[in-house]
Amino acid sequence: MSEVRSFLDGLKNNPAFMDNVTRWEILPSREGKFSPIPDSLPPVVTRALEGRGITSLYSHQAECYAAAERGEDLCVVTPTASGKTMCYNLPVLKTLLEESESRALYLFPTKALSQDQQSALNDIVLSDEIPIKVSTYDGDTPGSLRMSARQSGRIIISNPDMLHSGILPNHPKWIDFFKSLRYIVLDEVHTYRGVFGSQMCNLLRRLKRIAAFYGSNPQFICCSATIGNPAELTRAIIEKPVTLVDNNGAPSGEKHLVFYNPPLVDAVQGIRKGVVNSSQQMAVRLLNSGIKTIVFTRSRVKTELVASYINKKLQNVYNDNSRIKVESYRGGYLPGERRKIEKGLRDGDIQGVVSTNALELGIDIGGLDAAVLAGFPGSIASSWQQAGRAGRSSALSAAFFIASSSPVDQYLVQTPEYFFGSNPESGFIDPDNLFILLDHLKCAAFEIPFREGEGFPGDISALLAYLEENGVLRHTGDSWYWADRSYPSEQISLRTGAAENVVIIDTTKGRHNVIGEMDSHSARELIFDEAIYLHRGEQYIVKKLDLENHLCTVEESDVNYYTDSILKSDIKVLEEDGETDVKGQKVKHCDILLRNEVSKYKKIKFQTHENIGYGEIHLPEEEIHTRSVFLSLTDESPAGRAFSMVPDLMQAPVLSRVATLLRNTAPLFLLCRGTDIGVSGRVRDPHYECPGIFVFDTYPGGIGLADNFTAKMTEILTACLDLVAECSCSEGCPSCVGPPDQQDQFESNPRILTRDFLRIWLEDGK
Amino acid sequence: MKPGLSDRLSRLKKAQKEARKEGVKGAVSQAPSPAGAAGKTHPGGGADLQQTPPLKTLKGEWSSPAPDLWVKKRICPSPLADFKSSGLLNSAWPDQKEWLFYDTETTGLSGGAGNIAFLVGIGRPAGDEFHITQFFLKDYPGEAAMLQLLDQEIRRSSLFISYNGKSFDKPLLETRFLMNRFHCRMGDQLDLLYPVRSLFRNRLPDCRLGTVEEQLLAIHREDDIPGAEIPDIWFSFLKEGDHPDLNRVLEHNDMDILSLAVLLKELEAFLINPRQLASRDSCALGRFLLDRHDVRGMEFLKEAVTRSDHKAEVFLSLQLKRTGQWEEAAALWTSILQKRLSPFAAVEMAKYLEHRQKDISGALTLTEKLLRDLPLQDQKLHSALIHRRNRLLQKESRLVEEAGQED
Repeated sequence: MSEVRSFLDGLKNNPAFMDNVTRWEILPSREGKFSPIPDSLPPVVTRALEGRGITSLYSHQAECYAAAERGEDLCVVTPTASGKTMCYNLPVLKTLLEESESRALYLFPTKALSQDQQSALNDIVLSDEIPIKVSTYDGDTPGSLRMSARQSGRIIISNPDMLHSGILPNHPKWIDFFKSLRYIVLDEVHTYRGVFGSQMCNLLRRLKRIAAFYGSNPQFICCSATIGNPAELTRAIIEKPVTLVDNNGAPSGEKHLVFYNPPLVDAVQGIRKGVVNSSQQMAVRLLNSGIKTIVFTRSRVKTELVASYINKKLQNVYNDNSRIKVESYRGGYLPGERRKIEKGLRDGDIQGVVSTNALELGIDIGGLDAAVLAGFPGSIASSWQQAGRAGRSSALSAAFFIASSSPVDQYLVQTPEYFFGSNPESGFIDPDNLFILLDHLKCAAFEIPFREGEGFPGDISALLAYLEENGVLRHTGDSWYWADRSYPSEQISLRTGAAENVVIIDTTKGRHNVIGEMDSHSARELIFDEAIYLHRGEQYIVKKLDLENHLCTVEESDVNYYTDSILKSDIKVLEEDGETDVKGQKVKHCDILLRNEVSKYKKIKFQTHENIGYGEIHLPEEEIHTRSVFLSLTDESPAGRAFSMVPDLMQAPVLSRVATLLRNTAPLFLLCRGTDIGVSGRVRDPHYECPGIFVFDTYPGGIGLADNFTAKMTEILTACLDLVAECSCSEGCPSCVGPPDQQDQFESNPRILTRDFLRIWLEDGK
Repeated sequence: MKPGLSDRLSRLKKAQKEARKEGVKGAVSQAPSPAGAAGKTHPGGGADLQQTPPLKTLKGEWSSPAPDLWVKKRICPSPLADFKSSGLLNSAWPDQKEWLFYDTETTGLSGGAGNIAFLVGIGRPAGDEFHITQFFLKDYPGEAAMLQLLDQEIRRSSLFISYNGKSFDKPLLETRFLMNRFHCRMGDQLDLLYPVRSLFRNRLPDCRLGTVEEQLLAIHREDDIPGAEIPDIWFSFLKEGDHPDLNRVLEHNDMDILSLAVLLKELEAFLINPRQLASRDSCALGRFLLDRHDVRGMEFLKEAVTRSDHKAEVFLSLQLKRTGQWEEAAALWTSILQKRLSPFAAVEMAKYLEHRQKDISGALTLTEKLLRDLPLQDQKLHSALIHRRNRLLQKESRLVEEAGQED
């Protein structure tokens, strides 16, 4: 019997553990559905497949091959371990072998992924006599290899950032590549949503424009994880009709999904044992049973915390920690450090890893037997991907969802049906976000001047005129030319609103070592002066954050607390432009000016997580012009009638509770990060002159989250009600309406009142 | 429910205006410029452009063969009238009338498809004369016509002489030709930056053409415009229709072309008779000559060695070794070791003793001395030495054994 089987049996016979399990789902092993290898596949490829023991395809792989052969752009939905690389490699290899000049571009969302894919591809291509040169072209590609990649690479593996700042602006050097570009493969297409997706769509507009300049019109093959609208999202990104392939024919091993809600420590306030502690205990048990384990945490800080707790638990000088090695892994590490950890996992030198979602995507780290999710990763698609990290082979595997006290986690652990039900979360993009679009128009004009009347693909003449007013374009003859000495893509980052990352430098005892980097938006909230910064289990205190020069100096420290900043925001309505009616509820759409300020931080003690003091943060406030909806609570609406029943004194506290609930549940339905959306309740808004709730995009210009909110509003409000009604606390807790708030000026937390308000609103509006 | 593009744009402008107003009122915070969209404002964007080119404001004889393109030709005495080749810079010299000197002024320094050459200067020797032609873009649409004229010049030429053209001007022009759907036919390149760099790197603060002129050619430019200012002068010329410094840009480019011809001639003269230049870098010169199989290189390396140039000692000894002059090489290593602790000389000497002289214990003694005396900083060298010592020890004991067996 396998270690995993006996471990799971042990758990089942442990009543103390089972008391806290809200769901134990067994996904039975599944037979594969197979199709023969298509006859039209060149014999060298067929032989190479046979050489690797592959004599038939999974049904979805064959479907993809047929659709690609028909010349269709397609999107294939591929759960972890379903052999997705074959979905695109086979049609691409066929074309590349039959048309000797043709080329393909593979784009992966991160550099790490693209490096991993090259080794996977080389397995097929190099192992045999297939004369296709595969080249990785990214920031790490040495200058000496770049030229040969450009000239003779038939398959170029790269990432959006390199395409944006390296390849497209220098397209004349890539003439051989662009004039015969036949395929573009977009992997992990579900990650291209929200801001990043909107950037990606514009990047592809530029790519297609350049391809057209050289006379090619590439076909797209896209792969997505399981989300609500893979075809719709793909269509929005590539702006072409898409054939959807979503019948997975791959077999899978038996998988156990265990939902675990840590025990209540204080039933009155609804305080549960912490997710960090519960998760590391679970991980230590697994590791001690000889089970290779990955722990996913929700933040960089928690990654460091969990890894250091686990290592402390395992510490034993006499047996060299039982030869169990556990590493932490997250964004912000230098590439070399990451490669080393990935290799250790593959080679089996490392038995456990604690990671942020950095390892969630397809980086090959070999077979792991168990995954521990320390908190729900923000979307159901991510949860399945993280859980899928365990059991890549057909063997038995287990995934443990350890709920944190956050409302989304509590909602999911208490309503697991939602998790297993049909998948409602969907990805949105708004490629016409003005800021994003203007940035890409600059890059596109640099790449090829715009002819008068040329679209992108919509009418952009007004925007080009605006860029001319700003002095970066020149309209002359019948074209718009780039007229600035700068290289525009250098100043535009695809990843966040802010262009440049802050570099973190350790200056302890006169040292000057770069230990990591962080985008400047996160830097404001995480590495302000005096903040505690954790890196690979070491603790540092921030000496100075210099946002202007993108530098942050830190020194080693050994205090017993970590820090957490408090964000304050203020809203001013700039312009109204419409109204939607959702079951009698008026929702107003508007542009707003949002002012953000981080002025204070909390010091929180390690282990006990109690608040032990405050400090001031001196950073300039941030202003953002963005999109919002406003739910007005006037008497003619169901919400307004319900609200008028709330006693005056309680109106402010109830509104702030509803805002908390909305902020926590909306990301689940809109497939965005928690920080992408903001919610603010107003007892009396000065602009609309009534009480109401703002739901807004936090990215400049908005990326459509607020405008899409209305479509999902009823579902989101129902989830809010479920959460507040079903919470196991007695008076409201951080898991539902939030903790008691000193600003309320009274002691009890209005959980019941908030629940009743939502219930009456929803009943009335039926 | 979301506003259309032009609607969004008018709102953005309105918001920017308001933010600017607030800024004037003295608010502490500044409007953000998300991703740099609204960061820059240029004055005078709407200036009236003169439709007739102000040809008179420019010095020299200008003509306009095509819309938005101005061309100037001038003739001066050729610096190459009595040109002699050393045969070292270029293997085959076509007839002088097939030479083309060229230099570009561009809108940016970073390359890429959006960077254009708004001024291309070319020079051609023609007997006693030197013909300089400048193609200047009055505006972007003139580019195709310019490239067409340039293409005719290129077709007449078979040797292209530049300063840093290989990595900058040539690829840039290739890009421009490609963007205008022309085929660029530039052939053999003679980029003078490379010989200047190998011969004078240690004698010059930098290898910019201006520095080379000052220090090697004794040419002093007056009122030369710094290269970094050039792109903005052209942009400003586009907007305003004129710019007071435009003539300085044109003169800068003209001067670059002429300097190129002078530099070529002087480089060749120097290579024919290097002793004429007292401030020569003999070590660099020796290597340069030897790389081109010119035996004069040895005497210059030796000259550098007498001036105790450490690098020259290394190169000279390696050259002696390569040509089998072992005794001289060994003498050089010995003399180096007498003067200073040189790991290079010691290792070479140890190799010489071991392999040529079969003096294992001599090589071992030297290796051990080096290990003793050498500071421990260089890990790689240190472990290489340890490896060498162990190998020598084995070899020695094997020899002793063999000797014992013979007994």
